[in-house]
Amino acid sequence: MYKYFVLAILAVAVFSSCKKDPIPAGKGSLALHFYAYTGDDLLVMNQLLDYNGKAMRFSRFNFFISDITLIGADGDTKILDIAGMDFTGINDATDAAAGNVITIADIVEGDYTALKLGIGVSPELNAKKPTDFDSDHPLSKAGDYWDGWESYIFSKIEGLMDTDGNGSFERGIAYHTGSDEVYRIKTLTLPIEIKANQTAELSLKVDLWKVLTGIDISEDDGTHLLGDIGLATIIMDNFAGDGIQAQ
Amino acid sequence: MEQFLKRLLLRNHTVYIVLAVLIFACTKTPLPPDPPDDSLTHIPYNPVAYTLTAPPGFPAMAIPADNPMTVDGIALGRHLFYDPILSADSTMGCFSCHGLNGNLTDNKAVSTGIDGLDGRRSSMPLLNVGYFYNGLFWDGRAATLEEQAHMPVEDVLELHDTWDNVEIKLRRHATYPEMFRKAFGISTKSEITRDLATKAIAQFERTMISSGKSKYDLALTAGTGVEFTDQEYYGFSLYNQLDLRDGQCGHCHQGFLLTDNLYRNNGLDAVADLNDFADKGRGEVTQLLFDNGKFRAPSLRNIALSAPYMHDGRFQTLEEVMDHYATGGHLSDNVDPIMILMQNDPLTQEEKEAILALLHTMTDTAFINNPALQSPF
Repeated sequence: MYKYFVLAILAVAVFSSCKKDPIPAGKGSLALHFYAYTGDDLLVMNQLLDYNGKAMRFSRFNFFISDITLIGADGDTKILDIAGMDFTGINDATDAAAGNVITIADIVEGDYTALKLGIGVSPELNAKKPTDFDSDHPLSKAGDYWDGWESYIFSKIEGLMDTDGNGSFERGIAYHTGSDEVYRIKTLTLPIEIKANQTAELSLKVDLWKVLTGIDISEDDGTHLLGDIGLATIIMDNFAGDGIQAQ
Repeated sequence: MEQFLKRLLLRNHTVYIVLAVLIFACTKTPLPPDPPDDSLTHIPYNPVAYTLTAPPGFPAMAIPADNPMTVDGIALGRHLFYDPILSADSTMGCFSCHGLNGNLTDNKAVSTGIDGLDGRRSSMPLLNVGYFYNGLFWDGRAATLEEQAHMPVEDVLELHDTWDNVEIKLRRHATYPEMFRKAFGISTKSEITRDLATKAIAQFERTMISSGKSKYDLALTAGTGVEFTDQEYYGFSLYNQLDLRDGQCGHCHQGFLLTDNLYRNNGLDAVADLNDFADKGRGEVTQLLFDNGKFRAPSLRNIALSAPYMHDGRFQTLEEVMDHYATGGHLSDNVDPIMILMQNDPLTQEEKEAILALLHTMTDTAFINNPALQSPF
């Protein structure tokens, strides 16, 4: 009898120690492709454009995105803190067609229902300065910070315009946005399936004309004054509105 | 004809002499032979890591993994920086165009090489050069300090030597083999190469960091008790648009380096076509039309010591620089839009003087008097 009791105890011990751990979820990647446009046309730096009959060129366009987050049934999953989108080096059609891509790895597989982007630098990161980061970090560049705001420059749109049609580009365009007050959130509601060991692809269109909607770039001058950020507010609202769309 | 030549060669010994002269005159003068490949392993190799120190507000400098900083590496680099051995006639070296007293520039519009020929552009100051990114030289053609240091040696307008020759000189030198051994652990003199020489120079250059003792730095550091004068603060306010007026300076010259390391056309030249720039600057490197006439925005640290100004040294004084910016310069298809904003709202004389006063606070005399950066000879 005793031996059966011992065998029973041993059997319980064996089977309980052999209980299987849950299989960890696989991880995949998400590639976000950003393409800059003016309306239906891919944006190429310094290419001649028509703005209400006035010739113009864009010479610089960049912005930051923060707290890139996937939204699913289990809630929000932040997948990247910060990334810089710089279209200033887009110098020909080939570059424009390639766009800017950021690939984010180590994302738990699953079916997500939306992508959320912070437009600009999140308040948490905006409390820091370029010297707080290693030289290869997106926020390490002095040119992306404005001491007068104690803030990063969330976006830069620069160019030249020939306002009087005489062939001379005599108007300077420089719209810079920044400060926590104009940080915005953009949510794109769409299914995103992340599969283990695979890379999901998502294309996003950034339409510069839509970003500048509500501004007459032939007349409205930008400013770096915190007390005069009306244009900055318009631009950042536009980024979060129609300025960025899934393709 | 054959009989004529036979008689000429047999009877006229002068012919042989002439032929010999012609043969030797036509052959290239060979480089002196490499010295015997002596071992250096009898010299201890015990590298001591060197940790850079930087003033408050400066980040950690990125150091390439294949060129870590060591005490002996820096010592070697310092010697090479100040040694005219790098030039064909041993009269000039890095120091000739980047002398310490001139904020590591030669204070000339354009530099002059060993042959008395003028270069194309002004020598750039090296203060904090280890922090610079996005390309070195006015046109950004060198990606790293190591790459940059290769170029002046063989530039016909600068040191006009060959690296093959410099390597031999270094290997034959009385002291450099030992210094290379201690810096890089080489085993024989033949391992002294241009790559190691430029690595050493780069290590030394990375030590050229601001002292943090300029009035500008002290005034912006809490607890120093140093304050801007009213005029200097007015200049600071204009520089960074803290108030109503934007002096526009900070758009190109901001951060702890007082430069954004980007390339711009700042309206120096009037051209009808972007191909017409006499010096295409960045465009020479990228081959992009709209990069023609663009040059790197230099750091404004120690700017009062770096005259003359711009890539070709055309402005002798900071006052001339301010006058240029106050007018916005010349329009062209790729002029920086900031220049136009300045042109549309020119600085007043009072505003220019205030910004000048601020620029003078950026002078760091402790840096130029740093004994560790002086010539070791």
